[in-house]
Amino acid sequence: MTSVLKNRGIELGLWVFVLILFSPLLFIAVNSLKDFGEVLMDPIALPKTLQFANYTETWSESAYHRVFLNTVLFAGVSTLIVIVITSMAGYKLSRLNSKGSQMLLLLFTIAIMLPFPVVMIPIAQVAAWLDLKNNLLAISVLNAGFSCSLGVLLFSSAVKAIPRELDECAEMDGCYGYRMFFQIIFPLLKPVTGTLVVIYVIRYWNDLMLPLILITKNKFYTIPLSQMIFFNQFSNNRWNLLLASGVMAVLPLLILYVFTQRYIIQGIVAGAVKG
Amino acid sequence: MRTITGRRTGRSWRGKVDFVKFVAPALLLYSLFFIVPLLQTVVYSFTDWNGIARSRHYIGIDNYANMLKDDLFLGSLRFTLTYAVLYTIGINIVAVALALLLTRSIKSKTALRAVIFTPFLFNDVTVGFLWQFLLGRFMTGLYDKTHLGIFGISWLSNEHLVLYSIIFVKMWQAMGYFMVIYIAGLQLIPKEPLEAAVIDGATGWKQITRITLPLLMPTMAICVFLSITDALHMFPLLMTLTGGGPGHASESVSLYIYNTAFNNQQMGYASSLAVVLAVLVLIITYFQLKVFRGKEVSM
Repeated sequence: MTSVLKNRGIELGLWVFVLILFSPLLFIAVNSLKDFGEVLMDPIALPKTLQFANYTETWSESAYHRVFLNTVLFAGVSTLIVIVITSMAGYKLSRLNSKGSQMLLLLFTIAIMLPFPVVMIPIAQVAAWLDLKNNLLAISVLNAGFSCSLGVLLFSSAVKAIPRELDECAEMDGCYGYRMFFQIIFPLLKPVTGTLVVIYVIRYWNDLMLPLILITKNKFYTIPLSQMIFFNQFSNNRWNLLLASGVMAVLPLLILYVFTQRYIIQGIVAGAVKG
Repeated sequence: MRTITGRRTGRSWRGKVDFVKFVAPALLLYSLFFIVPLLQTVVYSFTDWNGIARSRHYIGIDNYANMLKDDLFLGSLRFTLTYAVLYTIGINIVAVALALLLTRSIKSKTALRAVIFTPFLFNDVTVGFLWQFLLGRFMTGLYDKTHLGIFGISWLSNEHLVLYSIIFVKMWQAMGYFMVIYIAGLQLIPKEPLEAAVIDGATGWKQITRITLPLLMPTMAICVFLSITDALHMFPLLMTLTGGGPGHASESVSLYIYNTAFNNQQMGYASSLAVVLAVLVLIITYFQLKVFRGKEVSM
């Protein structure tokens, strides 16, 4: 009986903790609906009238529809490419299991440990030479190659659980190469593919650095980059617009999270533990 | 065994073609956009290149020598290491505590977990400037209303406090992430040792410190690794939260490298800083793996 009471107490305590930590988000939502003067004068009070104009102004100022679609394109294409190339490479490297393939796996691991600034300057250079700057599709290809470590590692360890006999049977039936892989092996890798899609989509969606050094035209801004530019433009004064833009920036993933919460958390955990 | 070797020699040509077909796309893109840039960084680090000029001169180890006299770099190094240590300790304690509490039989635990995890999905830029507002303008507003001392403190513009404010914001953003990993780890722990301990009369706190935490070691190894790596990589958040300020008080090594390269156009010098950061990260990673390997074996 006491333990039930104790658990109720802990539950209450946790909700208080959560409320204190996350009430700032409510204040942000409230302040994003005030006019300019009100935010500056009295950030605590409720808005006198709801200023949805903050949102319409932010929307048109940052061309949110275009920024949103750019982010979908960037995150979507990058994820697609990274899944295709890393599943193939992970499969082959795992199957070969020779000294050479072990070395290659090690080579693929390096990028996980090193922070972005280590390659930042030359990447901007390489992109300029190959004329990739301000080209979202090309940047997505670069992005996929640059960040493929985790995919190669997770796919190569997942392939170990699939018996070799399967490959051999398929080959006897005359099914080789890409067709064999994508029709027979790849469907069996669904769990790890799901994990990686979750991790990569969130990572790409929120990535600032690559867009920051490779995109200079506002036509191609992604959400984090557009936020950064917006912030630099208005920092320290137009808080009503900045807060509205912040709400708009986090909303898409938040909505997705509400519906796919379970998969997102499972994916994140699986990725962290196996990685 | 014979069939395998037979197949290898008999079809080695196809094996090679297959290898290229499967591995080349990833290897090519990875080399072009990661390995080559990495090597280029090393080459640039021995030059005085400014990013614009066509010519660059090899100046030997001058960049590396200058680093030792660069107070801003040494300051950023100190900031990054202090931050990494405190952040790693703080977030792991909070995340373990939350995980332990949220694996008890609490009715609304799914909802609690879901809410605590949420900020992990927010991008750094946004988290940075939202908290700049909350710890700055909003706090002053609260102080005017309540006159509570805690709201009167300038959390982001005091050079001693800014470190703790950043740790707080980063923990706010990432604690749910580490919490769900710990929860998964706790669920993997077998029930028997705990039951045996209860029979032997071990109570609450003892159960946790003697049984649960040692068994949680493998998960802790992962989380410590992730949090240190995360801390050493950190900087997009700083760009909008503090901009490295006040002064240079919250400038991490990564942010300093970015500013040196893209604001001061000292690409050569920035490259040498990046090389030092890379070596530092690799050394820290190596020791971590060594320490935790030992722990897991001794368990």
